[in-house]
Amino acid sequence: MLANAEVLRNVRSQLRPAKMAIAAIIVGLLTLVAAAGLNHLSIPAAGPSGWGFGLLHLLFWLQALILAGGGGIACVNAIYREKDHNTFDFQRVTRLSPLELTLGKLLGAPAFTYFICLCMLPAVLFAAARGRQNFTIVLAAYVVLLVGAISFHVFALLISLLTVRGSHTAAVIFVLVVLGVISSVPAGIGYFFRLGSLSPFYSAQVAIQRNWSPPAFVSTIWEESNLPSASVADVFFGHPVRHLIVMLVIDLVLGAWCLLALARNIKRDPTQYELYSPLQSVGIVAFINLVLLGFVNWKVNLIDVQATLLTLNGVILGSIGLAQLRNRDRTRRLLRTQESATPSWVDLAWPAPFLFLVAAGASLLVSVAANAAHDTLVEWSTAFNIFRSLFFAAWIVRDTQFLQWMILRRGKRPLAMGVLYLLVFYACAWIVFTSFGVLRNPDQMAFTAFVLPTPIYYLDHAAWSVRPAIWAAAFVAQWVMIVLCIFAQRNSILELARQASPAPQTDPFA
Amino acid sequence: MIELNNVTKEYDLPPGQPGQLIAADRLTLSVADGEVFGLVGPNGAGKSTTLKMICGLMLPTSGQIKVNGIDVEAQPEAAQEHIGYLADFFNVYDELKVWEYVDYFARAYKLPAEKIPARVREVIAQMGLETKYDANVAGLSRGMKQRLGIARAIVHDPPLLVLDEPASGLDPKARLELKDLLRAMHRAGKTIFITSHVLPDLEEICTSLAILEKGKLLRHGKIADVMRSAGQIRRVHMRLASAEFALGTWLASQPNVNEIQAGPGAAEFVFPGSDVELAALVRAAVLAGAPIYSVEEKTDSLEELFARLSTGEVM
Repeated sequence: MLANAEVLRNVRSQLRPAKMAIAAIIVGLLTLVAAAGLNHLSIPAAGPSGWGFGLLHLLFWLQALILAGGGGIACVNAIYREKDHNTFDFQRVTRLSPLELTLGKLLGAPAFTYFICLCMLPAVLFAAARGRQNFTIVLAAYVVLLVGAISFHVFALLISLLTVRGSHTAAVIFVLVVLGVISSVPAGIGYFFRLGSLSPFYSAQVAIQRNWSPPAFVSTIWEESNLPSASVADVFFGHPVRHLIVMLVIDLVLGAWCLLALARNIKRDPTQYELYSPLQSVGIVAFINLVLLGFVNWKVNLIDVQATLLTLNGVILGSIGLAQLRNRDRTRRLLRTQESATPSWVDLAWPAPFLFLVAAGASLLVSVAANAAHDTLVEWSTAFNIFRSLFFAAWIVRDTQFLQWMILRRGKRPLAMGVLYLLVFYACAWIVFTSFGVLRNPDQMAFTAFVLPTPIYYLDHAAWSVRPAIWAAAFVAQWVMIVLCIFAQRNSILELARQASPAPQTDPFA
Repeated sequence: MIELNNVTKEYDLPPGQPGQLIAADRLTLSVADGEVFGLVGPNGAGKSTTLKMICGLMLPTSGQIKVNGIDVEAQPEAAQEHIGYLADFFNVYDELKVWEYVDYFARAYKLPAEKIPARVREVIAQMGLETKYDANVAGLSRGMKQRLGIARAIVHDPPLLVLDEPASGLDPKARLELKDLLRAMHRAGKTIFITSHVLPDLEEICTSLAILEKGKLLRHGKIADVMRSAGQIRRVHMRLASAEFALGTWLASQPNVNEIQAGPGAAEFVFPGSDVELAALVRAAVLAGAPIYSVEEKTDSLEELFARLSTGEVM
């Protein structure tokens, strides 16, 4: 690992002997005090209810907090700070390959948090020994901890790459909020998904398992609840699967997707970032839908399940749409380097054609899966499913196309402004519709579909038959807005095309 | 070593200002192996942008750049192997020691592990930082950090050095040392692509130069060619051994002699004629009884030439 120059630099700068000694002494003293205090308790050390297990759980929880939280912040700083200090270009011109540079930052930036965890290792071994815990389970807990933390670090590093000057604090808060969300979702007992926790905090549960069967309770960052073990078993397309393996596979694959985006872009000109190619974007959507559809609990209300799946797809497709946007610099390069004098219709309407196909495909996939898990209590129609998919895709394309138009406008942070406008738009619409109580009213629901996407999730024959013309008009309205955005985008692109510099400069000596 | 072919870089002007900034406007030039090539231009002319594009740090809006025959856009890492780059404004890793800093870049440039310690010592000594070998980078002065930056750029012994204002922040002694270092590198066969605001320094060390303004290449080529192509005026300074001869009056009666500034025993004038005609003028003066002690031809300095070009006098 130290053969990587970037890892070595981080280790050298973060792990100075004096700093290491102080950290080791503090961690050692704290764990000694905790262990000594627990040793004097009247309860025994061994067994699931002994203090050995309690200490083990606490230590793993703390390690997860230090590694994921502290290491995550270190990773958010890793690239941003280099850019801010004008040192990043020097790394970009070295012979380190993009993957080597990425891995160097991934493993090097949180070096100090790894050292803290190493300092806690004796205490962990002590607690495991006193609790008479199986050491292979402790080892498994460490694997979960490391895989969960490293996957989160890759995500934090990706955020660091994308963070622009002046938004560092927001990036740190965002990363910590994401950690809080993935760690606090009561996974495994989730209403819609039969899937356990994917967070590094899951290692605290693994550490106190008595055997390799699923854990008897679920712990999150916020709470801990006793549940029957059957409720936390992962179920993949109807087959029970071991959560430990599932968690490792999903975290590793998600981490690999983030790593791919980093390796593709870390040495690129920042104005030319393209997180994923269109084909890779399709791969991400397919993988996430495989996980969602595989672990979804079809036993609950089918319409609610479908609405949840579409909502999650909306988030994924929105992110993919953002990754496909072309800023003014990329558009200029496209215009100046293409052979044809005028941009093609695909370039003028990008990313609408691509995103529409992917969104409609994802939505149809959800509908097909829902049809397969047919619930006789719910009225079901293929025509409605297709209509819903097209409506959903149109909504995703509408908002993305608006952002594409915004990003082509001149101004300070046009994309951030576009996102802000959308948030304000949705917040206002939601407040108005909620105030008038029209969101759940079948008689008026169709009217809200002009603005908000949610009514389409619940469209059924009854809702359609009340206002068929309004539903159709809402659908057409989405396309009218898409066309307007594309038209505005086309004007921006043609304006950029017109700004091409004049005739080639002649050689003054000629 | 470097080939720029119709390279253009367009930017947006700040919000509120219409139009766009063309930092490089279809630049076409080539720098041969072993040259010291100076890029001259006012602030905002596009010098740093051009350098960044050569290093593959910034993609041109259009056009192609090759370094050592390698397309920088298609194979950036292969091209970067041949480049040592120093930016105009930069920081160093304050938390490292001097030798650790150079060692990091030696490893990042993938020098053979067994050669790294010796190379690190060699480069640090070359930069005159031996006494700071084990010191923290944070404690170095601005000039020392600049030298450390140059050490980083040359640690992998690249055939091409791309230096953006390397003399900025250096004291006069360090500036002289830098010039000596660049000359030594030139003698060692390195190609150097350099920008600087200190034009006399560039004039001393460069073999070729380009003058850039608003992204446009005003002149480029060998220094002598650039000077000649700019319509250089020949100004002649003539000194006499004694002030008895009325040199100013005599010169005024001669053809091709303009703008005479005469003083006791000396005169300076503009002479647009050829070398042969100047020799004839000197012989005529001697025959006329002028006790000529010296004849000196004064040429425009790079600074004067640049001032004339950038104010549009030549364009």
